[in-house]
Order: sequence, then structure tokens, then C-alpha cells
Amino acid sequence: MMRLTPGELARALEQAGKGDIAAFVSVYNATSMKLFGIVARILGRGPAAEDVLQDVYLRIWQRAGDYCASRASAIAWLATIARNRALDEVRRRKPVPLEDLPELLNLPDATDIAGDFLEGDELHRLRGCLDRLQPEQRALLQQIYFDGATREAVAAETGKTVAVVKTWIRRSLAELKGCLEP
Amino acid sequence: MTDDTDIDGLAAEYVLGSLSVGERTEVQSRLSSDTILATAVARWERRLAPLSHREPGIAPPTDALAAILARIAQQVAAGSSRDTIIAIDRRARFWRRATFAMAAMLALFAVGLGGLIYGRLWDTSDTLVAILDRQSSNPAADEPELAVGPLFLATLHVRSQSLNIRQLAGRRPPSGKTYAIWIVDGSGTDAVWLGSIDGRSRSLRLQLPGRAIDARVRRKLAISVENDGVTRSPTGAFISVGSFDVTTK
Repeated sequence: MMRLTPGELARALEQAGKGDIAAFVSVYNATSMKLFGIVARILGRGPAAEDVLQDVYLRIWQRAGDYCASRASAIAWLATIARNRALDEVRRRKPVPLEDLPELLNLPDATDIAGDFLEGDELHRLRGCLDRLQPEQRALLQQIYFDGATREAVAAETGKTVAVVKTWIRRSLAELKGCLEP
Repeated sequence: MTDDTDIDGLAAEYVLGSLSVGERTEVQSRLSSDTILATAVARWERRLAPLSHREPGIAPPTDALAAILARIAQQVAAGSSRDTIIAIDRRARFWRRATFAMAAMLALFAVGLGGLIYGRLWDTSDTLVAILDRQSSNPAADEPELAVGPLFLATLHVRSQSLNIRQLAGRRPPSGKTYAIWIVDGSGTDAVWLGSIDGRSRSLRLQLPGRAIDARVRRKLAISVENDGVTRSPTGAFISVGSFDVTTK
């Protein structure tokens, strides 16, 4: 993976938005591992994740001109596109039991990862606020964010109704927001 | 339509990813017109974005980039992406000056894309990319059947030494012929055959021998039209040429 500084990545993305295919390739080489990790965690490794990764970079090529560095970091903007595309895909698919996706079980556990990625102030603050939630609230949000679990899946797993799960989710997010923006 | 009156909660769940497909679709359709919802979504994206830093990376398939570039080229050639065409158009003045016939307009965009890439190198330590572009100075390229290309994308994955060549635009080879792929030196006199793309497929993936990898320095990839089967030396002129120009390494 080619390493770019956040500033270099933002500039490459802006250049790609002007139709610079070389800059687009630089963006791909600098971010494809990260974005494929995001997609594969939600969809599992396999042809579906590979197809979605192609869609993601096609969208990046088409929409790079919309990127605004003052609104979001380049990697956050790219990761949002990847997550949204993967979530759209996984929501369209028939639910598959976890045991039928052995490749998903072999993925590194994002919740166990600590320290081998960029530690920005925002991440530090978000982590602090997540740590202030109840453990089950934190686990709930992480299960949904990283693995793409639905309310229905959480309800089936916990034996609660979907309405109760929805209330849990919104209450947890409201508490998170209250911590991040007191 | 959802009767959810908690706009901020809806936005939060959209970004978190817990909405059903119907709810997601509805939120997405409202984003362009509902500024309150769009603002709430943008704020939640900013709040939760740092979580993506925790996502461990996974190496994508080595041929993923080639497939992506091929899809971009297809969109350009098909004129299905207005944004892409505009982007290409801004960078393709050279090609607009060319006096192609109207029938070759689709190729104009595709070749324009090639023009952006042709002769350039992205030394990414992972992947080298080159476009094998139409040889306009070659009389063979002026034959009617080759007037719209062909345009090839070559992707060399350095560590695995795998070379993927994909035809992005232009006709398939004539019946009984193949597009033979060569690695050649600067003068074009020392050509080593790597493989051929026949009329049944548009791509070829091969494992380069170490000798060829070493030889890529100051060498080019080239395409000639040959009879079907193993080829020892090019019998005709190169119709498309591209370079992994590593002089900047």
C-alpha cells in the first residue's frame, strides 16, 4: 500500500475530481486496503465484496469533484462512501447465518485493534465517549457499525423486540452525541 | 414512508447502519431535498467517521484496479457518465483536435482516457499501470477495422509479478488472428512474446518471469496482430504501445 499523508491524499482526491486518472490511481493505492477492509467486514470476503469495492471506486471517480477538504478528511469521505455502498448491498441481500460466512469469522476484529492506525484527537474523544457508555450499549453500536447488523438481527440475537432495540440504539447514540458535544 | 419524526435519530441510525433497506432508500432519496436531514446526516458522519480508523485493512484482489479502470473506460466509451465525460473532456483537448470521423466519437473519449495515462507511470510500489495506446504514426493503425483502437490497460503487480492486460476499447482481433502481447526494448527490435488475447476474451493474466520483470526498465509493452497460436516474433507492425516508464523511480 502506498502511503500518503492526509494532505497528499486530499490533493490526490481533488486532482482525481478534475479528471486526473493518475491521481485516482494514487488514491486507490493509498486507500484500497482500508476500504476493502470496511467492505469485507460488512459483506464478508468474496466476490460480492470485490464487486462492491469496484463500485466504490467508480463512485469515487464520479464524485471526487464533490469532495471538500474543509468538510471532512479525505479518508473519512472515502470510508463513508465504502460503508454506505456495503450497507446498501448487505441490506438488499437475504440474511445469511454467521456460520455460513467462515471468511467473515476469520477477519481481524476491529474492536481488538488498538494503536496501529492514526490516533487523531477526534478518535481519542470518540473513544472516550464510547467508553462512558454502558458496555452493552458500546457493544451494540460497534456490532452495528463494524458488522452491519440490523435492528432485526440484534433483536433476534437478544430476544428483544425490534422496537426495544430501536430505542436502545437511539438512546445510546443520543448519549454519545451528548458526550461529544456537551 | 417512515413516520419517524426524530430526524436526528433517523440520521444517526442511517450513518450507524442500522436502518432497513426501505428506510435507507427513503433517507437517500430525501437527502437531496431535505436540508435538515442532510445536515443531520453530515454531522453524524463527522461524529462517527473516526471509527473507520479502527478498521483493519485487507488487501484487495490484485486485479481489482484493472477491473475498476476498465469500468471507468467503459463508462467513458459508452457516454453513460456525464460527470466522467466532463472530467475527461476538460483534460482531452488534444484529442478533441483530432479529426476522427463521427463514427469514431466513442473511441475519442476512450482514447482520451488513454491519453491521460499514456506514457505515465504510477510507481506505487504495489502496482504499475500503463495504457497501450493506438499507434497513430503506424499505417496499420489506419486500417478501418482498427480505426477505433484498440486500447489496452496493463497492470503489473510488482510483488506477485502478475501482469494483467485488458482491452478497454476497440474491435476484437480479426477472425483467426490474435492480439499478441510483447515486451520490447526502446528501439522495438528485441521483442519477447508474453501471450495473446484472442477474439473470445478481452483480457489476459499472466505471471511474468523474473527476466521480463528486470527487462521492463526502459522497455515497453506492445501489441501486434498475429495468427492464432504461439508466436516467436512479431510479423506485423505494433498497433498499440505503452510504457512502464520507471525513470522516475
